[in-house]
Amino acid sequence: MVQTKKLKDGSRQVVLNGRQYDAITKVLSELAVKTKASAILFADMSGQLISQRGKTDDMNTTVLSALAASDFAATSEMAKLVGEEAKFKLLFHEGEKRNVYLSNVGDEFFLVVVFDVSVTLGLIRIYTKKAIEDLNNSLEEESENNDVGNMLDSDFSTLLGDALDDSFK
Amino acid sequence: MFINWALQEINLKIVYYGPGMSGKTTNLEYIHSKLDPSLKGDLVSLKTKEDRTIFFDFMQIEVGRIKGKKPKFNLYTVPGQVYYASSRKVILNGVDGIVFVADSQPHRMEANIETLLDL
Ligand SMILES: Nc1nc2c(ncn2[C@@H]2O[C@H](COP(=O)(O)OP(=O)(O)OP(=O)(O)O)[C@@H](O)[C@H]2O)c(=O)[nH]1
Ligand SMILES: [Mg+2]
Repeated sequence: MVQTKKLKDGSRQVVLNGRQYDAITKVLSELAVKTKASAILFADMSGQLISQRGKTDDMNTTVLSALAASDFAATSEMAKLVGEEAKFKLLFHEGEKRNVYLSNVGDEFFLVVVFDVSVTLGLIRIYTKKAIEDLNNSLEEESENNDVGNMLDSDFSTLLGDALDDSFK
Repeated sequence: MFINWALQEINLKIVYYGPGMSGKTTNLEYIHSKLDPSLKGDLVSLKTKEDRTIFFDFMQIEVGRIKGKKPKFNLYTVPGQVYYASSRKVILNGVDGIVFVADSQPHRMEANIETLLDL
């Protein structure tokens, strides 16, 4: 499982280990090859981009993930309002040149597939469904306990504070 | 907080929260204008024609590597207008820190308190 901890201040801490990250990136690479998608993103429901594949150089994928997460969150609120008890599972945005297909991966993550209109939706659906199964499997794998406490010591906060001060013109 | 061990990335979500017209978007715009260009991403604003936030503003700040780790701050604002309550809830999902932006005008005190209690 992805290591999730509730911190004292009530916030949530999610840790993805190296093996899980590699497995996720491998699934995305395969999906990119099979679907010829322009871009594939894997992100968490709070909008944080985890991994990406495809031709993403000219795409602001950080912002795309933040918008996609809000898209999901807004749609699931909409689902409640119209009396849909389960969440909507996928979102599809159709353009003239490009389409965007969004699908949740469990409750915590989602996948964004950006593809050319020349690629059929059926193809995207089939391969995405398979990719989601693989992603769920890698996320469920037993994970070693990563000690984050050591990573964020007081020395770290001092250095981070200094770096933030220095980042203003 | 989302930690990607493979890339040594630490992702944090900070939300600017407060009543309508209190200056949340202005805060983010100011930070964006003052930051070293190499450390910041685009500032994206989902707003109405009248410049009121309809969903959120968003920007990312990176400060480079610190002890080998790469902290990233994802800054959001919420829409302060009363009827966007459900959008506020959506943006607050997974938040690590909140900056409460109060309106210092005396007649907005009640709005400040109401918004704080709604958190
Ligand atoms: N006098 C004064 N005006 C301010 C200050 N900060 C912001 N304003 C002005 O207040 C107005 C509203 O500011 P915004 O930053 O858009 O407010 P907001 O909190 O994002 O509002 P919503 O998006 O509707 O929730 C703008 O006209 C700003 O120029 C301040 O510190 N002092
Ligand atoms: Mg605003």
